[in-house]
Amino acid sequence: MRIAVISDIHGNRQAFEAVEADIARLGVDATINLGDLVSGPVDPVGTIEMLMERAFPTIIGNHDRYLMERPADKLDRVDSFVAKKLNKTHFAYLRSLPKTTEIEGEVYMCHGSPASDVEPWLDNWWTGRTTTMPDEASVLKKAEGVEFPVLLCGHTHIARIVRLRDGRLIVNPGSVGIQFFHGAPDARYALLERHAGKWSASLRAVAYDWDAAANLALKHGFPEWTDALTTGWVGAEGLF
Amino acid sequence: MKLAILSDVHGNLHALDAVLDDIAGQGVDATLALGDFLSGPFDPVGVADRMIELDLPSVRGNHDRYIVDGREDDWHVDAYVRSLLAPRHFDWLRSLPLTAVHDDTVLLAHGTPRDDNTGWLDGLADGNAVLLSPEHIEREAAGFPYEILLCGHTHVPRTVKLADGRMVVNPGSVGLPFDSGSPDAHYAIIEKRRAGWTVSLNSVPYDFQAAANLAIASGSPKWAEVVTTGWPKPREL
Repeated sequence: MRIAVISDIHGNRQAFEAVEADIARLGVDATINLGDLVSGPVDPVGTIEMLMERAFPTIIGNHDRYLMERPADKLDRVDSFVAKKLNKTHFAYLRSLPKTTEIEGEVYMCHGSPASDVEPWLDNWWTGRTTTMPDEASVLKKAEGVEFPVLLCGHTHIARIVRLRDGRLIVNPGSVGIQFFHGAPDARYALLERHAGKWSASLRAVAYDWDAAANLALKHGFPEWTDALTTGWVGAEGLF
Repeated sequence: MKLAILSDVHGNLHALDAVLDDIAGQGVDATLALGDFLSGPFDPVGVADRMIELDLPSVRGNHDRYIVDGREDDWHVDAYVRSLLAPRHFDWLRSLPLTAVHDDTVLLAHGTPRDDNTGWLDGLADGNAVLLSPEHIEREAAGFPYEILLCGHTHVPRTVKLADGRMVVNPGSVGLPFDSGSPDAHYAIIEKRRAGWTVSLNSVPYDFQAAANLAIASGSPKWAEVVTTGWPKPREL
């Protein structure tokens, strides 16, 4: 059993296509998606149309929720740009997606933590412009009562693998579409594999045409995204 | 070109053999090793014999150097390992260079190319591993015009891209996964494709309890906790 886990595409179709090509080359039984599908200035419409066609098991992230819940004047600049581009079919697709789900009793999917789509799980999330591993107690607390062999989360854009003392694996695949403060612009995703009943994971970094993505962000009026897209050194502050 | 990268085995033969098994199924052109092979209260002699037999392109780590040369504040674990080794093991350790170049494309280093005891990608802030500045990372890479720059030492798996496109990759630790939140053995696969290099940071479950039992038997319970949980920080050793 081999599953590709993607998350936080943030409307970056170029990055998504490169990840999809890498997944196709490896061969998987399924691809699953942890949300924040479209909130970015590269190509949100192209991205959501690809996602609707693929129909992967998918959950929504906090930005997908904002697009559905918030009135136009309460959206941040990026989500406002995206909301104007999406049509009714796109919104109907977003509304059809759950906040959490599971695959065959084996794999649990959430965007932030099981309790919240904005709560970071496997990273202290660029406090003071650093990202660090949280302590064991805080990681474990958020996993309480979620009894699946594999627990998946996204949201922080920091790829990490934790294995709890009880054997449960927690994986954040990182972000396909926008890299925050870890020093590489490559698109990130994860591969889950089950051998002899035991799950393991690997974190993949894939080169793609980030200059093309940055040019689209610039063309759409978001010059602050170009450094973030082409270097991976920029934090999330000021992008949304 | 497809390469497997392993580092920081720290005497853990159970973890090393699990990683070598995993690599055997990956179809790589070569496996490269980045030092700190022996310093751990597990099975350092078994690891040394395995590495001598495999004869992989390898560089020495700071602890490999300490085992050979000694140092003022010698680690009790380095002294323990030194007491177990035979002359052939010392000869092998002495043969390991500070840096090596594979296929004119890939530089192997343990810490940085100039210092086996300096972290290239990560430093410590309040005891936590944090990504160092782009200025530090670029400065340590100056003068090494290879597409891929490999390092270990920090035990933090990480890939960073320099401004000119070169990539620095740390595969994490095979045998001593401190501050990682996982007991699994870590290594990396890098592969050159048309669009550039793809990096896979892998983690392999193995029989960590067998390794922990060796640490307990040699009187190092904290090392047993590191290999069974992955949570203790380096200063706790």
